Order: sequence, then structure tokens, then C-alpha cells
Amino acid sequence: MLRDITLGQYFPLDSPIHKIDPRMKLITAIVYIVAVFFAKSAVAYGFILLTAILLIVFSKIPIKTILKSLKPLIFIVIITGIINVFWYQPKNDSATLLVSFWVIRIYLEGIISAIYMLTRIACIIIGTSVILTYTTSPIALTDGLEQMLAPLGKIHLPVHEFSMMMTIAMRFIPTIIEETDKIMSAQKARGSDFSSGSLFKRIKALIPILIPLFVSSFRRADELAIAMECRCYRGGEGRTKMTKLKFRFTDFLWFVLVGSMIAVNILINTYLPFFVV
Amino acid sequence: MTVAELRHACYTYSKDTPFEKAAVNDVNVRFEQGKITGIIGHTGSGKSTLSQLLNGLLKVSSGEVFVNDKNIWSEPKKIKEVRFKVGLVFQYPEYQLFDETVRKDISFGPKNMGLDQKEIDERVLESLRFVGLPEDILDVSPFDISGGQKRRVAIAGIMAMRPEILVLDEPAAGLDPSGKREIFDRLRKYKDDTDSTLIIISHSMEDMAEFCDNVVVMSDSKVFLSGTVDEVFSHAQELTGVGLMVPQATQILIELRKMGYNVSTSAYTAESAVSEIMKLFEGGDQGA
Repeated sequence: MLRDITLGQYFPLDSPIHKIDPRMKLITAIVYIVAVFFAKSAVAYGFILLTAILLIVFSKIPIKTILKSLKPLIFIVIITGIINVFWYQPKNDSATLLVSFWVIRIYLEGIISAIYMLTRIACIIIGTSVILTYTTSPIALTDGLEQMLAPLGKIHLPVHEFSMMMTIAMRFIPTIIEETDKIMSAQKARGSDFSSGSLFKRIKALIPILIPLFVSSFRRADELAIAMECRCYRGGEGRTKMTKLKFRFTDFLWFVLVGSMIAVNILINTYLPFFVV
Repeated sequence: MTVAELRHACYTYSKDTPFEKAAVNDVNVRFEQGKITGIIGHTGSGKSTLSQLLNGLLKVSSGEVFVNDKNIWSEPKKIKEVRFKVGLVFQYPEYQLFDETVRKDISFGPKNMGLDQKEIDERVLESLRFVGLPEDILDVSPFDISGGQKRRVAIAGIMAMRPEILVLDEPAAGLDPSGKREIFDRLRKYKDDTDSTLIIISHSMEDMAEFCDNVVVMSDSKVFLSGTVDEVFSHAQELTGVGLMVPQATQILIELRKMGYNVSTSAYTAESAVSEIMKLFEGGDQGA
């Protein structure tokens, strides 16, 4: 049930992508998304799909897991696809009309643009989850974020506090999921019913879960705060790091690789402009 | 008479995923009407899963669960009724309290059963008496009372459903010795007064030896031993083998035996151990 959620789960494996500096991963994830949006011709879309597959292969993440994480998004993908097919407005007269019935007009270009859209969504999800969430531990991610945002500390933004909050929030997601499971079972044992009745009834059935959950979250937050103070935590000022992040040659190589995707897409769009819509 | 029974019950968590884990594996147990049965096992031995199989919170992957000679999964739509018949008190039940007043919280179960207000009020008072709380606590918020009182309110919430079988997962966890004593005494009285059946899950051998009639020992998702308290604790040395601590009294006897004294290691209460040791002095011959 709740514990079967895989989206955004970290997979501790040993792959070249796992080893990249988290700061570089954050940057390249954005660069990757930009590169995906540069694709215009069919060849370019083929190319970005290929890069997504290469990412999966190099990260050693089981393909089954990735497909499973895409499953909850199928609904969005289908809706987007349908909207694209039916709402396509031809820009010029060269558009090929396939079906014309009542108010519905389906163009070949509409179908192609729907396919492009789906490829783009899939690539962005696969790309960002493989570069970031699957291959980077939450701790490394917030660590990277903190160091990237460190310059903002000069204008008195609480960067360290912000990243500490992120770390704590992520650390407690599994704990809270487990707790929710437990409280749900306990209330079910007292005859609660979450799966039948009117919408109003079902919403009301959530109260016996949410209140104990809030109470225990506050209690846990209190305990954590005291435990941190016991270990002399006073915020970020003067705090040193056990592992300092350092860019290595491979990190820059990785940046060049992902960055060059933009250039490749531009080249393909110019020299192989097949089915540009 | 048997009130509940598991036949070849199996349960697997996260089936068909890489995290698959069998929690209960081919378990056969019977629970006798009017008796107190203890389920003992170390952490992760499957005892808590077993309790959730009994009241239908979890569905057996294979095998059958019988309550009053009826397979509880023969009519999956009526599983809610089984949950009222087999009341389950989770570990640290105080974390499930949620309502504005103690009265409303105890009423939650009976209300879900669809009883009328008069019947509910009656049951609230009755179960409050069983757990030994004063009536003036009824209109206090369950978040403003002490930890021990919260625990009792939560147990009363299950008792108010008047289950025929009451299953409690570590009811005394985190309580001091006198609080523990009191909870167990109250439970026994509840059982005698209502003619119900108790199933207690615990890892404390001492508590179980003192409180239960029958004992089921779980180890590694399976039933390792089961029988009356006497039968099970006569296998004290095997129990240490599956990572369980035998009662201190038994431990002393085992050590004495190792030293060469001729004592029986089947005693598990302080009194019987003392009389066992006294026998040595009376007999006069020490085999050291």
C-alpha cells in the first residue's frame, strides 16, 4: 500500500552517475531539461530518447523500477496526448487532414506533436529522476544545495537552516508513512472504514488518522529539537563539514556531455529537419 | 473449545517486489475459549503480523483463519464484523487517541458498530470500570492525561466493542512494574467477568509465565513451540536457542544444574524455583 511508493526513492548502487558531485547533478538536471526542450525534428527526439535510455543503462537502476515510477503519470500523459491530437491548429495549408467528422479534425501533424510531447515528458521524468533522485541520497542532495546556495548567506539568507529543514523533512518521510500505516490499521481495528461511503463520509474518516499523526509529528519534532540541542547544535555559523564536496575532472566531463546535448539538438534541427511541427 | 484457529496461515509483505519478506509461514495455532494465550517471540518473529491476521486487518496469502468455526474470509464484505468480534489493541495504543474527550474516544468503536446512544454510554462506563479509571476523566481531553491513563483509555476503546476475543500487542510496554501488574490484573478480571478469550503478545517470558494459561512461541515466522505454560517452559534451554530469555528463576536453576546440582529446570516462577532449591537442602546430598 503506502510503502510501495517508489517515485523519488534513492537506490544505493555503484554506478558512474552515483559518483558525480551532487552540485553538478543539480546543474546538469536543469541543463538536461533545457536540452530536451531544444529538440524539434524527429531525429532530435530520437536522440533525446536515446540519451534517456543511456542514462538508465549507466545508472544501473532496474528498468522495471523506472517503468513503475512512470505508472502513476500515465493519466496525465494520456490527457496531454488527447488534448494535443484534438486541439492541434494547423499553422499553414500543408497540414495533412486525416479525419474530419463534425467538429473534430485530426491532422497528421497533431498526432506527431502529441508523440513529441509524450517523448518530452517521459524524457524529463526519466532524466531528472535518474540524474537526481534515484542516484543521489537525500543527504548528498541537500548538502549540494546548501553549498550551491552558500553565497546567498552573504545577504543574510538562512541557507544552512533551510537545508537542515529539507534534510530533516526528507529523513522523516518514511517514518511518517510507516506511522500512517500503523494508525490506519489501529483505527480500522476500531471499525473505521476508509473505502466506502460518500465522499463526505470518507473525508470524515480521515480525522481519526490525521489528528494522531499531527500529535505524534509535533512530539517527534520536540524530541528531535532537544536531541539536537543536547549535541550542541547552534545553527550553521562556524559549523564545519565532515565531507567537503570537491569537483573532480569527471564532474566537468559529465557537465560537458550533458551540455553538448543542446548543441547536438541544434545541429540536428538545422541539418536533419524531419517532421518539424 | 476452540474460538479461533489459524490453519497453514502464510503472510508475505510486499509480495512480488524485491523487498518481499515472509512474516508468517505455515502457522497452525488454536486459541482456547476462556483462556489466556501468550504469543512470545523476539522482534521480527512474526507475532504482530499474526495478531493482524486474526482480526482480518491483513489477509492471509494462503491458508485459513477461523473465528468461531467460521472462515473469516468466506465473506470478505463482512470482514468489519470480524474486527468487532476480535478486538485488537496495537502496541502503544495511546498514539491512536484523537477525539476531543475521553468519552468520545472510547465511543468511537461502538459508534462504528452502529449502536444506539444509550447502549454506547453504558459500554463506555463499563469499559472505564474495567480499566480502572474514574468517571470524572470522561470529559477531559485524552491529550491532557498521563501516559498510563492514555494507555488505559485506548484499551477501554477496544473493550467497549465487547469483543469475544481480545488481542493485545505488548499491553505493558513502557510501563513501570506496578503499572504492568495493574494492567495484567485488570485484564484478567475483564476476561473472567465477560467470559471472553485473551491473546497477549509479548517478548517478556516472565510476564507470560505468570499471566498466561497457554503459550505459543514464534521464531523465524514459524511456531517453534506451543502448549500450556508448564509444557513450554520445560523446554527452557531450547528457548534460549531461538534468542529468547527464559525467566530468571529458570535461569538460576539451569546454572545450578550446570554446576552439577541435581535440580529440575522446569520451574519458571520464583516460588517453585525456591522450593526446587530447598529440596537440595532437605535431601542433604549435594552432588558438587
